[in-house]
Amino acid sequence: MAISCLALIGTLVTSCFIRTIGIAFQGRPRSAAAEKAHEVASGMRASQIILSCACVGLGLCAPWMLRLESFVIGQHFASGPPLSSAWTLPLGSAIFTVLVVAAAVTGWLINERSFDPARVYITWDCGFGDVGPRVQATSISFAQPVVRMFGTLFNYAHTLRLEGLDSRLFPDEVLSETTVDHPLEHHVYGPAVKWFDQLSHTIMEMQQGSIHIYLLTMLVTLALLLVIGGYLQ
Amino acid sequence: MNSLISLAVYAVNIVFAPLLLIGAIRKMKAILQGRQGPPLWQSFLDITKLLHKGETVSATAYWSFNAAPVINISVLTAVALMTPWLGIRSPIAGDLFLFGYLLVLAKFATSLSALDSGSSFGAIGASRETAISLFSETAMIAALAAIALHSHSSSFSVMFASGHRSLYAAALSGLVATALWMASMADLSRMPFDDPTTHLELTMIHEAQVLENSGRNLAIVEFATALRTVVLIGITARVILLMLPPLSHIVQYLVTIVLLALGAATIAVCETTLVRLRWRRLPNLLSFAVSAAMVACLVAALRG
Repeated sequence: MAISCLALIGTLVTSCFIRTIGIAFQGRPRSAAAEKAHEVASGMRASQIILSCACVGLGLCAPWMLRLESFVIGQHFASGPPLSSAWTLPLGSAIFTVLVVAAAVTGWLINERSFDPARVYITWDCGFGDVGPRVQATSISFAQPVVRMFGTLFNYAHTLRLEGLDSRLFPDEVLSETTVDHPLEHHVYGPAVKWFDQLSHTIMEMQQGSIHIYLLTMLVTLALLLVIGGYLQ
Repeated sequence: MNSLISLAVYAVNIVFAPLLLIGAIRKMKAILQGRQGPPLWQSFLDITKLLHKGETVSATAYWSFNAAPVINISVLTAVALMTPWLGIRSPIAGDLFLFGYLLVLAKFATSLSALDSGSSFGAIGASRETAISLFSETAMIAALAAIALHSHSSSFSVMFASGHRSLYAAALSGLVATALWMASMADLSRMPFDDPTTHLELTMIHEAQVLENSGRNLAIVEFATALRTVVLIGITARVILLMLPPLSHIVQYLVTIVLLALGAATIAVCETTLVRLRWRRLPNLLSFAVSAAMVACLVAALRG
């Protein structure tokens, strides 16, 4: 059961990242502001690259990192198996194979493209020509099949209205509308955010309002800390 | 078996078996439909033709579009070398979790490249493939996890060490093989989940994702898909082999080849007699695969 959940969570995370990266960075700019976007300064790029490399490095070099940590932990907790034994994935040979094949294929492709470069043309649009960036998927449309599959959880509803004389085959107007309710957002995150918001407002009023209330708060807090301290001792 | 011999056997089969399997499926389908069909080696000719054809790339595409086929072929070669899909011990160490992660990585690269060209068809394909993966990957990993539970290890060399002739082993292997087969057909976009020969973009799943690829890129993508096909059918065959008593390496290899041919025949029969299911019905069918995998896990866990 745990492994099935792990696989399901893994694929959900993958689809989430495909959607995030795909919609934010891939394809054509989806707004006028996005069209004017330009690359940031090299310093900012370098910091992102270093962080990304650190993430990939920590992930791929986990066995060696665990061995390093075992050395430190072992000095304080001598008993028990070493931490590095928790890692069982045989990564070394797999990474080596991936790198060798990727280097060979990339080298061959670069060599071939130097003689016969690729022709650059518009994206395939079923013969309609370049129809622009509006036909690209949005984050909602990308997630629609998954939301539909878990429709019971999200109260998924789809309305389709066809208008016109021969509305079934040649409609004049088509209206397709989907509605989704996010139970976690409405019943958990939403109320929690609202509650914290109210609490922070109350604390702000206490700190910025009357000096008497502020001093009383300090006194109560001090008394409370003393009681807790006394109880712990 | 000596590692070098194993590496040589796997290397030769990685080059020839995927395209021969695709050729066999096409030939059997043609025979079932009363046609002569292309020769078995037609896939080799198609790949050679694509390698010599000019390449067209969308003006919208970025470097990730060209990187996707390279990532696909390199990751799938690693998967093919670590998975015992030929019935004999794989030349490099394999693990159930690494197998799952690498298969997902290849899909991740393909889906991103589909979105990179800004094509609405590519996005439809990526979106559908991602939705199907939720079930197919879960079923695949859970099915193999049942064998891992049985053998108390997630390492492929331990999981597929030897066969066990008992009713329990036969039931477990049967359930796992059923789940794996259904999940593989969904993962490979085969009937009844998808029609790999369709020319209508709106009904495509996997094909829509690679619609923008041409020439050399398409050749690599086609070969990677064939490699994925042969590895997934091969691993199902290896699970079936677990029902049999321990055999010698050569016999195991030969039986696996026969099972691969049987797998190709089953795909050909399915693609001749079945129709493609409606998109909305796919989760219902895939839930059988997930259920079979879960029952297999339960059986393996109860048995200890």
